[in-house]
Amino acid sequence: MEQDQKPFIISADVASIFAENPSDRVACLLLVDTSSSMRGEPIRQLNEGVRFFREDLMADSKARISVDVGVIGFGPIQILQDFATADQFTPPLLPADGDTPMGGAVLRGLDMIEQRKNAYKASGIHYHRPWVFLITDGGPTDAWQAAAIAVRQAEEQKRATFFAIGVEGANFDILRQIAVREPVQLKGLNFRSLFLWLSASMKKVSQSQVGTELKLENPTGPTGWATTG
Amino acid sequence: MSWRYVWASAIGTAHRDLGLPCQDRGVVQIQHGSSEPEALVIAVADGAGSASAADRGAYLVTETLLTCVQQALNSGLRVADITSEDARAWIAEVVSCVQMQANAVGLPAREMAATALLAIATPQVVACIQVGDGVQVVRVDDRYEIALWPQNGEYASSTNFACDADAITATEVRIITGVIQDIAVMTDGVQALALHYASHTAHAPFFDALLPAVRNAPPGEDDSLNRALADFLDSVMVNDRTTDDKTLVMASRS
Repeated sequence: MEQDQKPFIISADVASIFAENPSDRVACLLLVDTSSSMRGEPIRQLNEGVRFFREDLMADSKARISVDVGVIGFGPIQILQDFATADQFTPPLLPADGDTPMGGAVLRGLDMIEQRKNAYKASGIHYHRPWVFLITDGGPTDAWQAAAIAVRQAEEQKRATFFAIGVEGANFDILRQIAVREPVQLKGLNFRSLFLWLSASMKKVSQSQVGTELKLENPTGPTGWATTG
Repeated sequence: MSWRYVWASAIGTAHRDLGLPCQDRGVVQIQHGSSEPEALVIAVADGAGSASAADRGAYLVTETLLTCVQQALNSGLRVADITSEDARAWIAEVVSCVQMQANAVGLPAREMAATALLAIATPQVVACIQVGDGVQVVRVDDRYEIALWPQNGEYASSTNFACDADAITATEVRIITGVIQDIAVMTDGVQALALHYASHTAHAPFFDALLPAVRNAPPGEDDSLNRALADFLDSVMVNDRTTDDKTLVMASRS
């Protein structure tokens, strides 16, 4: 064979030789407290944080098409954003009204995750273990025990990874019973740092390869956005 | 007509950025047996990204598989008669080899975790054996056949590795008979370019573009063709689509 023959070099216009498969997905569900106690600065900062989250995901070429963000508000329970990748997601305006049906929101969220997985499977989309983020400044006003059992089962069966974040005033005793992982307390209203951390974590997950162990930055470290609750 | 074959590995951009070595390995041999005059043997392994000695693991997996097959052919095994028991015995041998070597250097065996893909072919039959992800595609009777679908757990970042007893139960075997024209064996770094996940099919344009160079090559192996394949696997077009290590082995008789 002659030196200048390049049998496997294919010009860009025939790049269609490659199969087109959808990007691997990681579902990230935000369960956010939108009860009346969040009124004022907390809900304003939380809204800012979610907008910032979307912008930061958009800045990453892989994350913008891999991270599926969903938002459920509770107070009352409503799906404010069905799962969508950052490039197709318009941050909803989070209200602050009503009581805190946290238990019902958790159950609804876990159900939404399983439905999303079924949709992935039906389309041959590979996916990572979903993440659920519960953010609250209060305590449940509904029955939450079933939700605590459901979270425990989901963690044991590796169906989802569940984190609870309390804003000052949150009922950490109950958060501790709902989440398997130790809940953390947001420093002040530093939602921006929380979502920056979340975005960075999602980028790591979306780029992780087979057999690669993920090491996340500890949010309760000296430079982190949280303290232990 | 005799086999022509080409094989190459290229480091993934993510591995290069992290200062990791290429943890993939692919090998091709023509082996001769007492009842099987000539068999083409392809062994491929993909070391786990999380394993500290994954490159060593991939080397052990491929070398052990080649040795196991040669011994079996020496004892009179014919490719058409390969059974699941044979395959499980070879994988058991791989696992014990990996565990012994890991022990010797004071590492847990999972630090040498690697997948194991093995194809043994004659012009009339190919036996494909697999633990883990990656894929083997066979052109038989003028159609592309996926020998075994990549093994994945529920989540994208999990698969089986030939480093513990679970690998033996995870071992899959597929015997394909017919006019065997071409065989392609690849690690998961290449698989997403070559498979259509939603329809569970081989992406024919990928193979149609790459196989002619192998079919038109001189019999046996050609260094410049191996280099050209390595260049292709490290090209911008491929690296835009995967950041993982990539190994591709192709063989052809047509």
